[in-house]
Amino acid sequence: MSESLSARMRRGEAAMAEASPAPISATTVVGAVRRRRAWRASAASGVAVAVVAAVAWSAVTWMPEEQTVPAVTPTRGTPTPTSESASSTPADSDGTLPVLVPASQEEADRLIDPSTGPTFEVGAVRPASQVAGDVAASSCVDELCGRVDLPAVDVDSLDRDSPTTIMATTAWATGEGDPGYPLVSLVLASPVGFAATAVDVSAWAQDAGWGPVSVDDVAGEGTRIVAAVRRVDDNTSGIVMWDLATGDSVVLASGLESASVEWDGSAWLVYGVAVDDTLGASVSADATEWTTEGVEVAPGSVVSHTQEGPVLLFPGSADSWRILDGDVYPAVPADQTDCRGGVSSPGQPALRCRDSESGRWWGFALVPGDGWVALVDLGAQGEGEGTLPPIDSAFAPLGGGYLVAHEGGFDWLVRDEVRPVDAPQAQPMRGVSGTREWVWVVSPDGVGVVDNFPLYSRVIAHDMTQLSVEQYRFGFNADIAW
Amino acid sequence: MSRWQPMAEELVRTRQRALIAYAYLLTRDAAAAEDLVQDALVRTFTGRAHFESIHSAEGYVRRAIASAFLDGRRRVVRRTRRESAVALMEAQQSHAALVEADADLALAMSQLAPRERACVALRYLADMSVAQTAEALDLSQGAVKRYTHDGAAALARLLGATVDDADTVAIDVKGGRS
Repeated sequence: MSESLSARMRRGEAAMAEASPAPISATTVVGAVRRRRAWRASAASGVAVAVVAAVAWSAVTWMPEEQTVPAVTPTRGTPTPTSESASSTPADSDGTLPVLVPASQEEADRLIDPSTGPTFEVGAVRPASQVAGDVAASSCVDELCGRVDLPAVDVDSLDRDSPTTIMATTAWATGEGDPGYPLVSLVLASPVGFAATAVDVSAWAQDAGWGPVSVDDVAGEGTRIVAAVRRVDDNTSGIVMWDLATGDSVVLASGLESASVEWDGSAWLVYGVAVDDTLGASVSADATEWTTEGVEVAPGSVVSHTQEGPVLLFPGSADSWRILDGDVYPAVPADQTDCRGGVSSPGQPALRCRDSESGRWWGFALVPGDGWVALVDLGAQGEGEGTLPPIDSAFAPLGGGYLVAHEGGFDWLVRDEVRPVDAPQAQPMRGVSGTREWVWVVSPDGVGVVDNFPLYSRVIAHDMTQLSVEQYRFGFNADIAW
Repeated sequence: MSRWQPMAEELVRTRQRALIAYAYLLTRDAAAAEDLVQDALVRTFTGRAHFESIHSAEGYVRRAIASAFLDGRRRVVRRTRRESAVALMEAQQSHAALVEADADLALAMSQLAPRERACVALRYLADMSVAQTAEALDLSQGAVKRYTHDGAAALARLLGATVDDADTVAIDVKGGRS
């Protein structure tokens, strides 16, 4: 008689467990939990807007208003990009869709304060109990993530106000008897106080028959926005382009298990995964051309380890490579180095490498510009014997460089130097893996770190006097990264 | 000492290798499995104040692992694309021990689509019901049944095993797993 599947799987899992190392330190896990719990307790009195995803909004360019977005012509198979079009529905404050607001207008004003910058000025927001339309605000694990009722974007204002950031903001609503579902908007903002809703994604999704959605990734260029939109009902994702100048939208791909987008300076790079295939394509700015050729080339990959240090390949040609400075980063033979992640374009996860001999981790990040690589000593694992990266390390693009959280505090990695960040309140606020846990924001007064786990948010201010006002206003890509 | 702390420490000490093996069956990547387990442990004990037993805590962690696995696939795909051949080779070497422990199962799981893998793992290894699996993975119950059925059928065929009744998978809430 043959073995049952469950018994067979458990036997296999047990065998693998026997063969598995035990790299996770209980000390590290407990320490991370303690910090998060302590922070959650302190965060109960201060909640900010929940920011679910954001990328840089690059320099605004103009497209003739009569120009429309043509259908996409795919060059290869599944998942099949589609060309279905629908009119986007900019945010509308007339109540056609339920709009959640903070409990009072004063609180909304504190969230978006034109004098200090949109989304960056964070005040205490009490859970909103106010009913808007026929939908009441629900809480996000004891706290509300309120959606601020911003005006719809005026295309003319893009030129005048030069938004530098695009982000997806989410609130949670609940109908009577229904579980919470996200209300998502794409918001444009600039450090000088401009803030507007570019796309009410939830309204668009309702019109398109997608039902409740969330946004996994978003990028903007000119008057166009591309987002990876996930349908709550079936957990599949689509890639959607909106043109703010025409009001049109195009679904570039759909039916994906996961999807992501980025603007690489000349084209949209869209990625997706379906059940039986993957999609990696480059789409021209106006979506008229579509190719999968060359998309999987990996810029900034570690291609080798030498006695002089790791060799990195940079965007461009195959001969564009660099050996990291051996005076700073110890030359470690490949067989003693364990690297996680990958150095790629700004906003992507940074590379972490561990010298197995010393146990120390080193972090690398690609700084915008000429491919300069910043690095920082992330420290050892701590008291435990684990081999995972320090759990409290995170990278975030900022001001032409990177902010890095590590065991010693915060460093701002900019070209040719590493500047320690004076962050008196930062100690309990460390990033975790540099992914979905943390959002970094900047304001005229400093740098904030927003923890979005588990749907709590808080900004702590840091003294960033090293960063001049001029640099801040004109020199940085206001990335807010996961 | 907080009540959760001894539980967390014991879980890390006694069950992390099983959890890594479980995560590996989902990710097919030893490093990613370790990251997934570490993150899931932190999330679990940050979000919950108390578990009645190690077994219930482990179940919660397994659920968090499967959910995070599906959520994180987009980034995994990106990272994988950008890793060099050398880096991939090094990573593959580190997987050898896990694969060799049960090459047939590792290979068979790799044949399944990610959602099938997640559903089968939660149903057959984490002892979750259809409803629990659907909630953990943000899928409809119908989708869970379909993915579980398809995945289990493929696995059974590849492994020469018999498929348990998907709706009556034995659940032993008292006994621990080996």
